Amino acid sequence: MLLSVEHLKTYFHTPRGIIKAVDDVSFSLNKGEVLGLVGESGCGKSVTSQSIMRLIPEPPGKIEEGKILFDGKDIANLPLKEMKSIRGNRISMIFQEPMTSLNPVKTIGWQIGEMFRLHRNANRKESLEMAVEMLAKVQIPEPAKRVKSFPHQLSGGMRQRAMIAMALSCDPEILIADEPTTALDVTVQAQILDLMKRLKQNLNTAILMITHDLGVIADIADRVMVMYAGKAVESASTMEIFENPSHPYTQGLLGSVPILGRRAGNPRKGPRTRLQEIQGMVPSLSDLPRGCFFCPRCSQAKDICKTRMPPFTERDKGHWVRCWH
Amino acid sequence: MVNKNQNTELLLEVEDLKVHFPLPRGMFSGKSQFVYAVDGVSLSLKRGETLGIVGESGCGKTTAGLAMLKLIDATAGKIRFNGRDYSHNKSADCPALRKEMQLIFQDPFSSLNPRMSINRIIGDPMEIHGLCTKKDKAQKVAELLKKVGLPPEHGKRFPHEFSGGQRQRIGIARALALDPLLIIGDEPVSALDVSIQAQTINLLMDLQEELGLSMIIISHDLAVVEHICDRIAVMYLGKIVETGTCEQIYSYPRHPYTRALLSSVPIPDPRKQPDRILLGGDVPSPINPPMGCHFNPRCSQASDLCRQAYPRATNLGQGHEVSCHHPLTPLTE
Repeated sequence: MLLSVEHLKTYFHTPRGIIKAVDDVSFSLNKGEVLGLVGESGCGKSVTSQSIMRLIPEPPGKIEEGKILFDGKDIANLPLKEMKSIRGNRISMIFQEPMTSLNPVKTIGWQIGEMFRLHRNANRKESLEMAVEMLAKVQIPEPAKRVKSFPHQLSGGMRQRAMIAMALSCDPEILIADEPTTALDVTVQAQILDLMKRLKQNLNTAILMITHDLGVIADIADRVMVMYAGKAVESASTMEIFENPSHPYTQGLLGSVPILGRRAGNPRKGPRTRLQEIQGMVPSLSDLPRGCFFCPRCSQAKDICKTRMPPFTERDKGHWVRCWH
Repeated sequence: MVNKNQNTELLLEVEDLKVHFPLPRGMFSGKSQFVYAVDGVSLSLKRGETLGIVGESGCGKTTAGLAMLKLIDATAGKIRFNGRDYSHNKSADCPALRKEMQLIFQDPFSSLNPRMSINRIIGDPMEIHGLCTKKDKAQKVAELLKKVGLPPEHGKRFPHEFSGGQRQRIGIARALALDPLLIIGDEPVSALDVSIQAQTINLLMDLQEELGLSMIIISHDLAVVEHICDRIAVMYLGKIVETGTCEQIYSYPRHPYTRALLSSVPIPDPRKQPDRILLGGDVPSPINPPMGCHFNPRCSQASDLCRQAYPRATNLGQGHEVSCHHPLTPLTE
């Protein structure tokens, strides 16, 4: 086991009260595995990944409780100085908006090269050569030329490739990808996902893929964890989640996504099929319901759901659910 | 309930629509340059029909929609709406058109005036067009709010008091307020969370069914468009490359770009992962579109002809049209 997150709690202390962005989340990641973190806005998936990278601003945020075991060491309490040698080197991250996460005033060659200068003691010349190599690895055409480009001179897809190049330069054991393709066109998304799959195969990197897109999950993830309002509500292999979703929220999510081809495939006589709806809205983290957070929207809610939060239990081997039913 | 098949007359006819934006000339540049945002788009919409316009960033779909609504001036082309030719009207001269054509915007957070109450946002246009008086404005607004699934008493509230999904419903109510003939939705659900998207899609479909609305849905999301629409037009770099019913486009795509686009859409089912056709390179800039067929640099079967001449639209029968010198053979029959 490469990474083990145990009962992680990351809270934000605001004037309006404590926001429990991540509230008792546990999961593990093995070498070469892709784990998908799925959920809608405010579910805590980004804060989880930022907690692992120790990027949570303190104050107002704080990892209140829990362990993040990386290669046997608890990095949740590691001094930030030591964390620097892990970030980018052994655990890397790519973000959703490459235009805002790349430095606009440095060439991509300089930015990728920086990884080698920081973590591998390379000099300027060596780091530039390695940057060109990385650009070729992520299939940017004419890498020797492109290495001198600034981010604004590249398209969205190319910027994301540059960011992937930067993240993979030092051969990290874990790559955290936070909505890496959400801002990209669908044909570019397909290219980037294909690239990530190939790189994962060649480099055996474990990937923590954070997304709201169930299609991306079905494509690339080996296992999935579904989050809701700061809690993990279901976790299983990808096949199991899609074939046998047990939590009403997971079932609702799967039913509410229009699937390309579902309509056209069948001869349409009569009214169009409605999508399955989850009534209501995601609760605000500053105003969470008593008992199970999903209860107000749940079609299967019973009395106990209104007053007590169900525990995260293993139903079948590898299939965990947080539900009283 | 309106019988959709009752009146099959064309509501909207667009012929060879062009929208070219001039670029400001620099000090040393010679020729003027243009952004060929929309470069010869032709389509039609029957009453009661829902047409989807799909394409990726920069293909011109939003610009085409705005030009059809006369919110921006077209450079060239014919626009015929409800039997009248609006091609030569400047966008400022079409107040009557505003009542008959409405728009739902993409971003629920910037499309509602934050300083106006919902009563004003939805009600003022009705008052201006003489559909209600100052007195019964609030009541008419309440009826519309109810229609879109919002509490009717919330008319006095302001946009910031609502969530994204609720604001989008307000936007839909606003679009319905003037009882328009045509509603154009510009990425109406893209900015919403998955579960709210489903609610909004269902709402649009219910309203379409109940009111017999004619709609154009502009979106990059093929799955959403296929779900809501009757017909689809696929755009690439300012031009329509293929048009057809959902079934024709999905099951028998004939343009290489359409096929690649369809294969790229993520399918939320691990058992049904398609063979992806990966396109090389990026979408070229609409300032300098390639010569000949705009798709040729990325097309696996581009020939010399493709590099020289833009392919005319070929009618494949039953309303299915494709602009390609070498349309693909249908995968299944």
